[in-house]
Amino acid sequence: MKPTLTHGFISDRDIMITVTTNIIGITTLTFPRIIAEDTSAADGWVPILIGGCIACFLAWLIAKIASSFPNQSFFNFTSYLLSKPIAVIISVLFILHFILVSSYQVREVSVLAHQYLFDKTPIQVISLSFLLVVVYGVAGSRAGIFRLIVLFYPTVIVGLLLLTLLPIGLFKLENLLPIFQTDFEGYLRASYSGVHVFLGFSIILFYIEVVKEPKNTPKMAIKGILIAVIFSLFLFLVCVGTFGNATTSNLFFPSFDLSRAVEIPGGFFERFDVIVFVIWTMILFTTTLISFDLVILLMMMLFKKANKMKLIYFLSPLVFLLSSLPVNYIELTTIGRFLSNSMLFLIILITILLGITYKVKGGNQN
Amino acid sequence: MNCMKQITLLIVILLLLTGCWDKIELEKRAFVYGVGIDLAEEQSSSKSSKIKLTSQLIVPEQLVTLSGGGSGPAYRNLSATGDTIINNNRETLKQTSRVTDVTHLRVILFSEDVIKQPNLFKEHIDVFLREKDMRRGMLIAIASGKAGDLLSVEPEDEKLPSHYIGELLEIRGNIETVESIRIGDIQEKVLQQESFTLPQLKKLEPKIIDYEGIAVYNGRKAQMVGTLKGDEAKGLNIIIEEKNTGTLNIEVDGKVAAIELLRIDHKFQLENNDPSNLQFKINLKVNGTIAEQYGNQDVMKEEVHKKFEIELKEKISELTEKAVEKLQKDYMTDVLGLGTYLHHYHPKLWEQMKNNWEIGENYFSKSKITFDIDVLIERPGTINKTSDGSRFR
Repeated sequence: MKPTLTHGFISDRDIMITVTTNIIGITTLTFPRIIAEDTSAADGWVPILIGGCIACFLAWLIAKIASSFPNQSFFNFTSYLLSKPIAVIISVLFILHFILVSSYQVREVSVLAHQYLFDKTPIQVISLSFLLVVVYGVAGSRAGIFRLIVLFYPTVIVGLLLLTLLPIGLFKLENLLPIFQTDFEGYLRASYSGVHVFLGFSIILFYIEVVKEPKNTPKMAIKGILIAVIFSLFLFLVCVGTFGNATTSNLFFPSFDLSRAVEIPGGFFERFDVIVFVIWTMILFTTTLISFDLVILLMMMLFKKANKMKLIYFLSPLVFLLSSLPVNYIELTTIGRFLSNSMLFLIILITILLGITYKVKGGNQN
Repeated sequence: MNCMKQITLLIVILLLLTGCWDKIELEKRAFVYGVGIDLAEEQSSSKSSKIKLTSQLIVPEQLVTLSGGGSGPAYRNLSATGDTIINNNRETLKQTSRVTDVTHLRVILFSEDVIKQPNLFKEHIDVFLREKDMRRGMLIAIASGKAGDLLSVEPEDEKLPSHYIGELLEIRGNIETVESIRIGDIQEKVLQQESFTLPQLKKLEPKIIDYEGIAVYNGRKAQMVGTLKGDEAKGLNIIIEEKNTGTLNIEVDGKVAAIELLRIDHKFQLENNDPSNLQFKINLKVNGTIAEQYGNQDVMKEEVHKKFEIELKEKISELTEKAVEKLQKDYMTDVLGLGTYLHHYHPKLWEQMKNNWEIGENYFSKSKITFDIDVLIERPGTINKTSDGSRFR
């Protein structure tokens, strides 16, 4: 077991911010609808909380195992625990997953922009320009990505707080009633969707290698998830309180429509949705950046001699091509659901595999 | 070599920066500020009824501010007939030199004929919610007669009829009017099949639009069932409104006095659990001030003050009972929000009877509604009395 050459360069705070940012990704736009579909009135807060707790538990397990191999790559410690061939298979699965996630996000951001901002601009042009910026970000150093995430964080948080606070005038407490009228099956289904909302924590598996003090990572990961859970709860309640449950489950992007419902007198802020769109693009940009970067990271682990730039040149057209494959919104939603399920599957698989072998073999021995 | 690379890069960038596909200059846009939806005169035999859409476009050159500017009319009304609203809108494009832009749409008027047909209203608000440029704050109102006619009523102080209507809908201070209704609020009610109220407007004179009454829309039948006017509208408003209040005339010792209502708090209470004979108690807490009095009572006296309160209380109970009776017996429509109250606070009971609330068994009409009215006249205004009969007799 050789420690990898890279030394940790991201602090505890950075990993926490990255976890939060990665969770507040594409699902935040749609999750109030998905949760509201299966629950009555504002009961969705229960599944969100349950989902958050499950995510915290999984994240803690994963981070605990990973952090016992300080500054070692994902591939290194999985091959130590699970033997090399299995580590290769798992890495390949993750690579495929993140390639699909990147192209899905590129497509999703261009669909949104196409729908709300420029409906005559060809969708491929939007995705290409978005992808080019992402590629530019990935081509630089990894530290730059983290710095960008931390830089964006205050803007994102302030913007999202505004998004949840501004509709307060339209908020009706009555819409939150009646409480606890959801049947058990509804809670179960909504909790399942609730877990999906917080799956963004999986990045700690791969980035733990570059964390300065991996000891603290489990705590930080949970903190990061909790911030996202609190925000999601808040957003969900504001959505249901403003629109009512039936409307929330009928709007495709309830979180975005929240900004369109807001009307503040005074001209400039009357179109608050424009500002929210900027913030969404920033969030989606960072999450796409992360998933693209993870593809590169994992590939570099497998092919030690590969050239990073060559990999990027090879992957970018692939991502672009995949992003333009779905023909309509039905296919796109199916892909989204598939990716969400595959992430959950991969995380549970890796947790079980690593958990068992970690118990048997113990932690790092050098 | 390096130089060549840079030049190619610059050319590629130049291609990418050719400009925006979606650019429409401001002067190429025609802003729609209000639309009116009527039934078309000639109906075809197709499944849906044909409608006539009248859109009011702003002529910005004539409009320096919303209430002043150039000499000509500041608007242009275009209408088209067809099955769907969006198609009608595109039909009007044949007649205009600009692209219609609905981002500033403020008022949607439905004619009484449209909303009195089952399901038609529900079908025709779809586009206003689905279209991405539409705001959720658009106001909805009903027009007695033709909705298109209201859009050409041009008062002296406003240049845009639809702006006039929009402002009129938001004015508070008369107890016969409801708080303005936004399309975003309607969506939830339509989805839940709840009944609701809508303002009803009428063209009074060539230059005046009048707030005629409160239209009652039945969510289950998906159509408008009637209009509450005058006293009934007052009674309904006392029960459902919180902020929008106005004045009530009462009679004290044979002399008329007017009380300005400042605030009305209401609370519903269910007294029993028997579906076929529900008993509701509505607690009303009314806060008022004396606005006008024709008599010469000394309002500083305890017993006179009591008299005012008792008269006001009687007046309110008379008005509210009138309204409730009309809703229960004639319209069989619950716009009071009792169904919503049951849904929120007695969900188990509501589950049993929600399909027989306004239709079928009609539990709403069968339920007994009583009032518990609490009146407080807080202030007398700034004077005691104007005429003094006692001193110079």
